[in-house]
Amino acid sequence: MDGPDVLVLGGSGAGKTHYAGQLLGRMRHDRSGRLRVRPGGVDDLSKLEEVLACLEEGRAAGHTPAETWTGIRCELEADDGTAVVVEWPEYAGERLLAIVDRRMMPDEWRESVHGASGWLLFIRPSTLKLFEDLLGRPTGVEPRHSESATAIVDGVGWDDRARYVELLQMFLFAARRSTNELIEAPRLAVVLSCWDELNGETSTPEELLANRLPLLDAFIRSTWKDESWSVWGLSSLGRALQNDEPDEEFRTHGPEKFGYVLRPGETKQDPDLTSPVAWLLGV
Amino acid sequence: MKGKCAHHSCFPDTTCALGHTNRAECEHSGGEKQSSGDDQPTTVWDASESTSDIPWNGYVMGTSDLAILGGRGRPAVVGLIGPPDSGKTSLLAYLYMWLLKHGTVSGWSFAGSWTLGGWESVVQYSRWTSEPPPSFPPHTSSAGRHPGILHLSLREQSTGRLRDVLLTDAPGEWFCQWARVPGSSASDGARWVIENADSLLLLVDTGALSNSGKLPATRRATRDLMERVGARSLCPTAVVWTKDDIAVPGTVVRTIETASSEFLPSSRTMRTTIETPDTIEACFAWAIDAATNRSPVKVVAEPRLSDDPFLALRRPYGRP
Repeated sequence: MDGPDVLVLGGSGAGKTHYAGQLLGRMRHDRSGRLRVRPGGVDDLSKLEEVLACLEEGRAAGHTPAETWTGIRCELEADDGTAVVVEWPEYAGERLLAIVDRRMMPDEWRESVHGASGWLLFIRPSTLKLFEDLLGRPTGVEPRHSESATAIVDGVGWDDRARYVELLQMFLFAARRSTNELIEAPRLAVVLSCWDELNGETSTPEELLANRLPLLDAFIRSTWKDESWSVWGLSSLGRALQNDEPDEEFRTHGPEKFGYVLRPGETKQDPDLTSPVAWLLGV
Repeated sequence: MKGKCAHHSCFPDTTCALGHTNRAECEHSGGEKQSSGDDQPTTVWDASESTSDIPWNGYVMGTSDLAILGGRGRPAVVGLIGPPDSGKTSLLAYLYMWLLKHGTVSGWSFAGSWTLGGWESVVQYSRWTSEPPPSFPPHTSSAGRHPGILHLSLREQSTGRLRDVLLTDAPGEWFCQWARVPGSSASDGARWVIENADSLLLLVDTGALSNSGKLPATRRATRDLMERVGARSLCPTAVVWTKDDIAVPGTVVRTIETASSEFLPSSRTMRTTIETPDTIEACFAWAIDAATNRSPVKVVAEPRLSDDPFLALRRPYGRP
């Protein structure tokens, strides 16, 4: 491997592929961001052919096929001229959560974990599975004891607050990181995706993570050094696109004019979609 | 193709106990041999699949799973003991619900757990999913001989130190049996909890004490347990009155309090109710602090039993 890998962790529908398409478009056609692709610096554009074509037409891309596992090699340069080569992974999200559900870490994941200098964890707040329980909403009457035998809940039935913690624990173990002391590497960027679905959310990304996923927030704070992790809000497209009906404005202006991030601690939108990756790579 | 392993710490759903990625390379691997019929524990795995990379299976631990925690120091053990239906598993369910909502327990931040599946199973009946409405966890089965153990890694906010904490979830019948015959082989699980706990929460079932039908058996079980714990355990103990929103006749309360002060004079008394979840958090905060040696323990003054001059030598030096 010539350069650092970014380990992208995100379940099905978390927005990885749209971000990859938009990121690549930004880095190639909008030279104002923190990271740019060197001219001709992408080894194989066909790997993102579908999403790039859909975005140009103002349509949403389809679901990444389950068998997909590929890496896109990009030669990048930063504002200060620093050259970085990144291997960007592209896969179907089911493959990630299957690790928690089946408790097996396939070879391709093991290799990615060992090579990665930074982890990008995608979480889509609007689709989280968070159960209400007796603590949050009492029954109002004395609850009875269940008559059922205690059954084991498999990974699929877990609350997402626990599922994401288990996912990170498994990857930390695979990366052979001891958490006895707070860790510096790999850096972790938590990306709260599809921010436009949150209907006028006024929190900072950190506040949203702490409110929606307190268990995960506490786990990350208890595992990473403060300067080694960050939380970002992300809307790759800035709006919802349809698969079948093009968005005329999107189509006319081009995908690089849409999408934004919320930087850590911020509530205002920043069009530079490259900043989470730039932070992760330390450039 | 099926293979077998005779190593006592090997289980098919976690890594090979000796670290082999390919189980067939392990010296304990029996390849395709059939069971010899002896009483060695034998694990069967599918040799066509690679073994799991993950040394924990996510569900409650048994005592043979604890070795994976030993690498970073002895974990602190919090034992929950009490008669059947006194609320041990429900208290654990509330602890996990509290952590899901807050991420911290009084100065300790959640830093991971190798039994998240176990915690999820404990709270599954306490969630609003569909009909029926949420309930307390079902009765913990007394089948088996080893307590279910739930794990938490916690980082102390003030010092940054990481501690592994184990919380036991064992059926009340075990403790009643242990209180009757501590040496009985049927009391192995309860004995493990008592002998290994760094702090104990002894639960008093206020609900059962308020029920005239259940009162005699519950009072007896509770007092028997207090007597045995007082005689056999030196670790910090709290007597926890669960379901404290239920009224109990004063005379019954005094009976239990008398037993508590007689047999467990150093114990602390706490009261919990689901109507005020903070009381449950406070209970675990005390237990975790006590198990990790953060709480000062009240030392009981030893009574002078004799004026024999020889025994006077036991006095602290320098005393007039």
